[in-house]
Amino acid sequence: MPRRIRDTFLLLWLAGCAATDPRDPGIEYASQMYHSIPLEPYAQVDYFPYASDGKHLREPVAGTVPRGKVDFIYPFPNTNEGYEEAGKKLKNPLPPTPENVSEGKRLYSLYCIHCHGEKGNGRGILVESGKYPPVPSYYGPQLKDLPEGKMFHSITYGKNLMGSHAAQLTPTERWQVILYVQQLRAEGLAAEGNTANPSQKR
Amino acid sequence: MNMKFTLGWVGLLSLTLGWAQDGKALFQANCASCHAINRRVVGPALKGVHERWGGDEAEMIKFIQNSQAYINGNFKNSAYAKNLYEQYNKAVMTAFTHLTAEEIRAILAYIKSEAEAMAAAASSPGAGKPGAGGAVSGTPSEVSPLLWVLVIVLGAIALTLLVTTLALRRMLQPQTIPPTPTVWTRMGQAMRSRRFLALVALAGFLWLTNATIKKARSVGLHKGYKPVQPIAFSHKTHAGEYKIACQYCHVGVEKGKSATIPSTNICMNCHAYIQEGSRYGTKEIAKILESYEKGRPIEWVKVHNLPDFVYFSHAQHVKVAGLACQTCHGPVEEMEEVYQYADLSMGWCINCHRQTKVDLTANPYYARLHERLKEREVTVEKLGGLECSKCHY
Repeated sequence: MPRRIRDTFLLLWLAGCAATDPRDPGIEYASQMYHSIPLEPYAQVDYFPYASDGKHLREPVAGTVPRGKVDFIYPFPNTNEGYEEAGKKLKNPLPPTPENVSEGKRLYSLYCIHCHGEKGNGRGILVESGKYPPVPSYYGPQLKDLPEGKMFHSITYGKNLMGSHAAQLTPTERWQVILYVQQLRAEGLAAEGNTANPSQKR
Repeated sequence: MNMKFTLGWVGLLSLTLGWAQDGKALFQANCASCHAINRRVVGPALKGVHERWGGDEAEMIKFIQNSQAYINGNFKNSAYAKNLYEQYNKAVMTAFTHLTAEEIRAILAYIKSEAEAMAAAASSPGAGKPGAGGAVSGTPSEVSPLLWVLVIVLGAIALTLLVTTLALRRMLQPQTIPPTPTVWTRMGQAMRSRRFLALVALAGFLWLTNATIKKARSVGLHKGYKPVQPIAFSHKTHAGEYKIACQYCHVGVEKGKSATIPSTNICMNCHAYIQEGSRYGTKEIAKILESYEKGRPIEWVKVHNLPDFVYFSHAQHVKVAGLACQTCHGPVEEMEEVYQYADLSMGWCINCHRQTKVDLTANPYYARLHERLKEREVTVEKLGGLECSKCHY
């Protein structure tokens, strides 16, 4: 056996007992085939020379609309006037079908439930743990008459301590969530009415 | 007389206590989502609000019941209120028309007593700064592998030295009649025999070969990879303890190829308020705030790296197939630091694709496909009959 081959085998054999370091991704064979030359999303590059800020993941140009999604442009500005106007003019384009409401419920459990709670009473797990301040109930005095336009405005831009959820929910998804929130509110008000009435009778 | 006096005091005390209790509940229900006693939240800290308003509760009640009317009207403190409104980015305080003057007085009494209690707690030396010193600092330090190598090498050197000195000492002793063989000397002889040495060598060879094969098969697979992240973010705290859904942060998982790493604004949905963590205090969360203020993304290190010659879409697996994230990523909600759970090898993918049954009934795509298939003439070619490997394999 030629010496070089024997040495390579010996080296490989010894490499077998090298310890694995969890901080190191390990060995790659033919790494040219592993790493794409055009940059993939979230590729790890230190600096991207073709952009002035060095970031290779670009932000969409302002006003970019996905194909066929006209409602992505939201006409009301993030001001107190815009909030009031949205409350008056903005209406839900989706019908309250069971599919829309159940999708709204699913999305609610992913994006809202941590603070607003399972029943929409503002007692989510973050509030209950004391990490986050109390959140108004959907059927409390502050929100029980809130129009759907203001709900949409608040999800889009955020309201008070609540941040904007526009990056997480598309306009259609926001309307689905609102359908479910309205259902929760109706249920909450009905439950309160049921408990309030007997006490009045007494 | 005396009795009446005490009763009166007890009555007054219970009345004020009752007030403070009510005030607390009312404060929690109506005010606490925007105000705290001793820190700015959305609105100003309410500590010292009486001093700022000149102790005039009647004016404060008017403001609380309808802040906008007060700001735009011509009341005693309208100018101050308008200035405050401008200062706080024109955030409108909700009109609390449903609160009566009595209820607002109870809230104000609660604010006053709470602020005083906090001031007293801060001034007393023992009770000061709860939690500041209690934070556990740093991660448990891991012993570096280099240190282990050093220990082994030093140990080996010490052992050889010991053996050599023993041998030399024995040589120095005058030769005597060989001692009668005991169990130990026999065992020593057996261990020096050719057969035993060959056996040891064979075992060593097999072990090394096994390790080498394992290592060679792991080339290109990063199972167990656990890189150091720029922020000591704990999935255990977020997804485990507080049960925040994976999708809340990894928004793209149902919509596209990448699950997406959350941008800082998503962190800020909670951390605009929560600025002190349970484990590292303010140290780690401060990095989020800095990133947000400077508009510089956090440079998280990618854990799961698929080779470029494989296409993988999260949406197809999570939204269409309805797989749980844990199927491939393991118990992330128990991971303090995220590591690669599955080996992401081709065999691992194929295995799941072989076993997973496709739901042909609930997915409308297949209903449409089967309808379309019935309408058309389907030739063998359409079913892939002209693929080279149908005949040539």
